[in-house]
Amino acid sequence: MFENSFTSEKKIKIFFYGFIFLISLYLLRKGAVFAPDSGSYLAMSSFRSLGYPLFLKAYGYFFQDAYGVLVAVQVGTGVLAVDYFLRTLNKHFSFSSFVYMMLFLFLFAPYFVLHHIGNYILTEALCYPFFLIMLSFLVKFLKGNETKFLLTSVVFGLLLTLTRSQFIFLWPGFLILITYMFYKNRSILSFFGRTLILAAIILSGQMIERTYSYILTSSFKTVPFVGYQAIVLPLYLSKERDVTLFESPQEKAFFKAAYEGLQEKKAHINSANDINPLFHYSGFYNIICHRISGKAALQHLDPNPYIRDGQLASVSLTLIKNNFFLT
Amino acid sequence: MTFYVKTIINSLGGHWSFFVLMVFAFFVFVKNILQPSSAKETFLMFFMFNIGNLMLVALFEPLIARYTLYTATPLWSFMLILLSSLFMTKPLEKAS
Repeated sequence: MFENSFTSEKKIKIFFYGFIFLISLYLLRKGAVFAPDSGSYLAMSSFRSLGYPLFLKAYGYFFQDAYGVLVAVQVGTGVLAVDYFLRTLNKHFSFSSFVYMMLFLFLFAPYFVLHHIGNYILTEALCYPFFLIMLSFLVKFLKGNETKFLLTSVVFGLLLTLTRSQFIFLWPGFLILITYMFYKNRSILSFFGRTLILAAIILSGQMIERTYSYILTSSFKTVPFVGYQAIVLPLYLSKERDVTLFESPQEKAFFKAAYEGLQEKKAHINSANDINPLFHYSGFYNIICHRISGKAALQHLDPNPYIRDGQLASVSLTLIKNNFFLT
Repeated sequence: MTFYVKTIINSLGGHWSFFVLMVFAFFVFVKNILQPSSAKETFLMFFMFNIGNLMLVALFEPLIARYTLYTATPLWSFMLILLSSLFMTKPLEKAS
């Protein structure tokens, strides 16, 4: 336990943690919320990274479909991660109890304002606390230059990339930090050692992800979800005559079905009318991705998820190339 | 929430005065707060991860930029720590 201005003020500490406990109780009472994407995590769909589906599988083994406990686990992890992050910062930087409490509420806000990440059955519930813990260890690494902190941080980075592929942006960041520490300390041996650790962990992550994919789909490849996401905006901005851009009958049929779906659900830019297209698109993103283009892709494109994802990426590129300058 | 933020900004004199205030705050921030090296390093690290995340998200979702709270909240938290240090007499960086 760190000794700092916050932990030394016991009364404030009890009052504040009591307040956080009350917020947590409110979140528990709200219960689990199923988002449009939740089903694919629970069903271990092939286009989802392995982290969250496996977590849900392990959870289901113990608690079956009692999702109230899941909310408790997700919110509890969030509280612990926020507390750990702030304690780490407070160990190295001076800030008052008041700032500590305000920052706690600010960092914990995604749990009880707008996003409700502890209640939703979505990857954010794991990624947000993991990211805070990873950053805490990186702060310790920057301060102490100890490899054990870097290693722990990279392991959390691995867990993050296995939960959401979005977190691949961490790897160049890690390399920059390792190079910076070499620039500061001039130890070539630790530089090579740390770079090797990083490379080994990135490669092991690739192996784990591909093995998981192989078990699910018999394809030793990474999760196919690039095309699914890349197609959403080009479809939102597409025009009916764009169907002539495609030569393959599969792609033509897909585009026709998706375009009809967009019109039917009023999810196309033409249906925005008085609404700002930015908000209109933002509100329809999930519907276009899963219910319109995802559904049309399943009906008209290749049954193999990897080939299908490639086809979606190709359709997306064709639309972008031809509609880059909207007229 | 956006409505309340907009109302507060407008009551403070609109977006332009807010922008001028932000530019001024940035210079004060850079000059006075980022003096200790570990504060500078930590800030730049959070900033780097936030920019990396934004760039990656912008590739796929250029208009809505969801999923950026992961990196934005720690960055803003640290900026608040740095800004709060303006009102403290003791040094920001603790002796290790």
